[in-house]
Amino acid sequence: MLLPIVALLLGFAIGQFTKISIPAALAPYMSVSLLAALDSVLGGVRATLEDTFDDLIFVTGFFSNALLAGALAFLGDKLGVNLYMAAIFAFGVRLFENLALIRRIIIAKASNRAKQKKS
Amino acid sequence: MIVKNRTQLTLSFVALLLGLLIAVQLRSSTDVYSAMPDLRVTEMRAVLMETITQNQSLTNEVEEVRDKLRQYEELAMKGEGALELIQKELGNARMLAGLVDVQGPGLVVTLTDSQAASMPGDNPNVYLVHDEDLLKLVNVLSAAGAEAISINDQRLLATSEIHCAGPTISINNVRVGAPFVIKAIGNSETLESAVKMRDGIMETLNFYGIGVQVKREANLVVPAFKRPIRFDYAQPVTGGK
Repeated sequence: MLLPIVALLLGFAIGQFTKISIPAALAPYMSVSLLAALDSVLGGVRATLEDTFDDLIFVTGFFSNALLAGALAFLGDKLGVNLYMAAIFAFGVRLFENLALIRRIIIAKASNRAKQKKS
Repeated sequence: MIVKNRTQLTLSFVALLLGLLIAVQLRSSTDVYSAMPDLRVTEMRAVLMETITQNQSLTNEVEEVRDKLRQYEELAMKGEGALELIQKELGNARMLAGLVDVQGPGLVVTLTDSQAASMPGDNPNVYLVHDEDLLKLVNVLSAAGAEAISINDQRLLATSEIHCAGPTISINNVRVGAPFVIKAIGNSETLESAVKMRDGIMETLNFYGIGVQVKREANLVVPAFKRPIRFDYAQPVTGGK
């Protein structure tokens, strides 16, 4: 579990110290994409903890969710509908669901371990 | 173990990407927010520059006035030549008052009544040049920096009226009729663009079918006010300010 966290920090550092930047016009779609990506990663963490992790599903989910969310927000803007709201809502709810599940699993595992130690 | 490693690697790869995205997005959104004060800065800069230029020109003016004062003082000490300077001042004042013919580059605007056949039921008034049209035009020219203006050779003074007088228009108590030739001395380009401004006086007049010819002249003569100037009521205030 350590390696992904290191990678996350490394990616953050790369983003921080290189001068990559997004055009201001694309920034709103990018934020929706980012939310989708975050959701995918949390889903991946959950799947790992549940031992149902499949890296193909995970990787494709990460990219397709991010791209689709961005494209949907863009389309919504063109149509004059705040479609990004739907994306934010859907991914936001799932994000919290995933977080809650991750917490439960970790707590369950920890208490299981404690019980095993006692017995 | 191999499967576990692969999982770790994919997760790491995606996490790397995510971190990158977060960092870039963070910077981009701070860019967006910081763009607002930038706008304000540009605005303030323009104001500052304007103030600086104004200050500069005022400083120059102060120097000019001081220079003049020194000249006066010197001449007064010598007791001669003061007359010459005063005459020059008087010349300027007379030019401003419209008491002398003046010449220079400028613009000639000719207004003619509409040639369009009036439709039955139309108000024929809208096809004629009115005092208000002339007033507006003169106002536009003055705003564009015209230094001397005449309408059909009637020099416009501070006291000139442009007033409806039946089928004619009374200017300086002289009745003039169409076509109206308005001469204005000033920067001819500025004057022309002021008249031809989009949605400006020329478009408005053209809309009513009134003919507007605009011609820039390198040298035109605006005649002096030819009638006596009388002040029956106004008296200069003497003493104090």
